[in-house]
Amino acid sequence: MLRLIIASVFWAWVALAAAQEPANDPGAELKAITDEYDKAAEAFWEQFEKTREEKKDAEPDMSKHPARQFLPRVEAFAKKHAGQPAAIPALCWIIENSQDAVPGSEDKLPAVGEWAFEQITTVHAGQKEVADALRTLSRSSWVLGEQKVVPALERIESANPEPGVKASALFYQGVVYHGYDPKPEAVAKSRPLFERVLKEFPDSEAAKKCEPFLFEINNLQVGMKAPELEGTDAEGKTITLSSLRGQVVVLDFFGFW
Amino acid sequence: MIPHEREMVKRLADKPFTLLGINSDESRSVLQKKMAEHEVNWPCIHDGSPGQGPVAKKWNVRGWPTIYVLDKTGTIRHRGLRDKELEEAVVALLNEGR
Repeated sequence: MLRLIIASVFWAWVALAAAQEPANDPGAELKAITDEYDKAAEAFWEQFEKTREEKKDAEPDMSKHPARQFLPRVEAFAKKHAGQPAAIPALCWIIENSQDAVPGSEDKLPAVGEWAFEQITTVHAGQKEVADALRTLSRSSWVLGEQKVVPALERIESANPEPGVKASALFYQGVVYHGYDPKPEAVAKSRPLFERVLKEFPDSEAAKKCEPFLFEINNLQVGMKAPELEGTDAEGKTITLSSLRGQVVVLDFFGFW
Repeated sequence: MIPHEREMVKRLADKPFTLLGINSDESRSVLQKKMAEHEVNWPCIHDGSPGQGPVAKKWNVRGWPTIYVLDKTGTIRHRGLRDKELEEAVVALLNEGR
């Protein structure tokens, strides 16, 4: 009898250890694929940079882009874990990379990307892990348009029981409307959403993210006095915006990358 | 962007105009090297990498370049202009109140 108990405990332990092995961890399995992809994509663009050094107006040959080989692998992974939270990062990858993978989709999301978008915003809408997909969904408004992305974020906001997810879904609706260099019409839509996050979810991560948007809305619109700005130049000398009063000034936030 | 800005700064050299760069490269030494390489003839604040630089963070800058045009009173008059449109807007503001 004792032997039987020891044997059962042993086999239970073996089963548990096997379940924890990385090979059975879907997150690690997907990460291995996407890490491999990141390296291949980096190599592709490095190669293109070399080509462009020789021929200035060269265009990248997208038929050789590694997204084409990796898309079926990530898609298979997402289908294997269909409906499970493990599928969410794979579906995000598909939304972010399928344009590089499918010819003729420079200015639209290919069907597989639309499928991934639908999966996340219906099947996964109530799962807490959908939190990690909200930024990707908001960014997809560049190709899908706000009229498709905002209702999807609203669906997640109402379907999801987690306050953190609700707050974040509201915040990203605001981000979609706000865009870059927002016009007054855009601000009229984004401001109430950011204010709702602060009011309804004041302790959330999303509330912190709303603050710079509200600063921009309240201080950086056309017609407003620019706030003071201070920093040090390439030699370490202090420069202030107020020292340039009386001049026309162009502020250019830029990088040489 | 940069070649046009260089020409604009030269053309408006004797006007009450400043192009102020707020740079998001990772270090001041990169900024120095790149300024020399690209013949940048206007002042640039070194702010730090995207997500790190205090000015860009405060101003909610999420895309580069982000451009603001201020008039002589320090009021924001335009956002998001580039190249030829940017220069035309600057020239119009230089002619204001003359």
